[in-house]
Amino acid sequence: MRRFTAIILTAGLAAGLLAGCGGAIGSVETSGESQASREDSVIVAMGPTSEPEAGFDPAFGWGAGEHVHEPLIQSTLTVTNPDLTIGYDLATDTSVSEDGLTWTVTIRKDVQFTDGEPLTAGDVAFTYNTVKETSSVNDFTMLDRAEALDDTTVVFHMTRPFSIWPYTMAAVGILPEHAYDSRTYGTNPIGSGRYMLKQWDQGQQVILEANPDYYGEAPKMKQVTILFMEEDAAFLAAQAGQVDVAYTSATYSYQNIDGYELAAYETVDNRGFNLPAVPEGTDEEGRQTGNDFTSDVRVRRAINLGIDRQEMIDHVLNGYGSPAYSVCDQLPWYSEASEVAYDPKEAGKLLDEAGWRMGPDGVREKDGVKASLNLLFSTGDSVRQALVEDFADQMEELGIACTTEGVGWDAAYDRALADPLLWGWGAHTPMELYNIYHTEEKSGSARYSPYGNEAVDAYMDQALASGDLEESYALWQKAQWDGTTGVTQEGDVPWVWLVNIDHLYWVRDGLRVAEQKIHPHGHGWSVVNNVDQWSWEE
Amino acid sequence: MKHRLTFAGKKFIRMGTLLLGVSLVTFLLMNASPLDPLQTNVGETALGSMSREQVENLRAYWGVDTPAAERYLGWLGNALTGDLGESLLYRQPVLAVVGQRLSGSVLLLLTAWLLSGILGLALGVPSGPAGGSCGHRGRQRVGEESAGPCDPWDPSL
Repeated sequence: MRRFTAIILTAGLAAGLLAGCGGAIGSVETSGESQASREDSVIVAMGPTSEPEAGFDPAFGWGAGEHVHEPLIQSTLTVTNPDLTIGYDLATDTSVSEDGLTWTVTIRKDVQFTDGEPLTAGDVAFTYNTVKETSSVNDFTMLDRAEALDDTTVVFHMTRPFSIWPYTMAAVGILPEHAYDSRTYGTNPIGSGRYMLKQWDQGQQVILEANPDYYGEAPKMKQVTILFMEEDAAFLAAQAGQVDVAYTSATYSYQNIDGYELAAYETVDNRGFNLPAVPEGTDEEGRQTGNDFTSDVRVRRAINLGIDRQEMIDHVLNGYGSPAYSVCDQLPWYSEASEVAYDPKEAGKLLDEAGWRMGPDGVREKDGVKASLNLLFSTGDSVRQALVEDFADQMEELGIACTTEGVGWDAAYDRALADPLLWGWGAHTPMELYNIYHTEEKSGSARYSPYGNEAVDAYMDQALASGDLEESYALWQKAQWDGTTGVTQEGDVPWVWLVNIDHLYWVRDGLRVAEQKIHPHGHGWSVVNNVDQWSWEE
Repeated sequence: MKHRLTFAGKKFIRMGTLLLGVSLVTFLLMNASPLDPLQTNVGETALGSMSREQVENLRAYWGVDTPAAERYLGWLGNALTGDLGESLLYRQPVLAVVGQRLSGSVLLLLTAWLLSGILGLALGVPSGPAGGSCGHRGRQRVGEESAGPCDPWDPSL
């Protein structure tokens, strides 16, 4: 009897357990797979770092930061066009005062949040004032406060002139003032954008559904599923046909997947070296700065000419990349004077002129000192290491002895003040150009590598203070080269740019991915910026 | 009763000191880590597009310039009163974030525990001495607890 009871009880326990667990696990799998067959839905695999830790809340950096992208769930005042000029989303007009301290933006009247409430200038002002307080990746130090004059006019009171404010506005999704609670908004966002958040299984997937009341062109893709997985898992998922788009890298580009095509999108995701432009010494904090070899501008010019960028792309990136001549190739503020042709002979001549003569062992010498570079790269990134090794080989051909060294990020910033470090940049704003080349008040030198040029500083300050965004592009270009001085080949060349890495994706045959705007640094949500325009071939 | 209270009391004290030790070691390890919180959580490129002022704001937010002792003691003081604070990265109360991760672990734990319990009972009960037809040699081998022959009719014995 006891045994009988025991058996009945355990059977009951087992049945209850299986019923409970089965329910929970089933809901994740079915929602993912059943959508693959629908003609107006798409499944995209992205890296785990693309999942916003703090949720889909613009106040906590959704849409901004490392990887700038359109917030999809919310609307923004402005947008960046495929060529990175400025277009309008919610805004109908933007204007700035003479002194650059007041921006006035008018917005459209016909926008509603997905809960039915209309979007007004009050929501815009609320959003900007809230984001300013949250210590997020959005830099609002140039904004004093935002104010709604009426339902359709917003005024931004700035602390300093900032001509590129439209670029900042393009990354800020508008929050609903009446429905915003910072504790819950991240997991339950209400916006006015093209998509609504249908489901978010943290650590696994996000399901977006098209907003039926969207004020603009109705999205073609009605359902978008984003799966977060590591690169190798994404590759396997593509092989198994479980995803329609999967991010990948040059390592996998040699492979072939039936039914998929490898798509390469242009980026401004660049890699380049800083060349310390001052002689060796120590700064006030006791750190080693400067480099006696690269402090000679002729040496830096020679290095810039002596790089075969196409060879690097072919060998290290398997052809998936483009030569980089600046930190902002192809962007509206790029100066074409940055472009150089590979010329090892001229490079050799410049080094001779600088006094570095070829020695019998193939290494150049000057006053008994051998020409040498200790090249640094951040550990944990095999592509960076491969680029550094390739660069070292090329420099050896010029007669410069190279050593390579992996460093962790904690030490890299300090070490880069004295030795060339391979950096990765690429942003959708000229502020990056500013931060790389402009001197900082406290130190009198540029932020990441010792360098300073008053003319360059002056042009960039003028560009920021300009009242006309279009005109300011010319000033940014002048900062790079104005005919006499600058940071390009004929100028100071304190940084040498190597390549722009293409972003690679496996795309299922039959899926028409809309024209991609130039991707910024890092794989991520950029690829789905215009997912509402994607379609399946009949 | 008093003996039980003392026993329980000692266990709780031990648990308390263990938790304290673990929190201290974890904190020290994180402090010793070469990773810069800004680099890791904000990102190199994001920092590169920010003004120096905003970088300083973020350093204050992430407590980069606050001395380690101050940070630990501040946290400890709050934790002892039950306030585990808000996650800097997830922007949610720490208990909520831990709860989300814990729920997955608890589910696994419970499943494993129940399965082993069911299997154990299902295999053990018939093989035990109170069982009738436990003559099958295989079941007897599995039911290690059974002592001696349990079925006088088993021809194999």
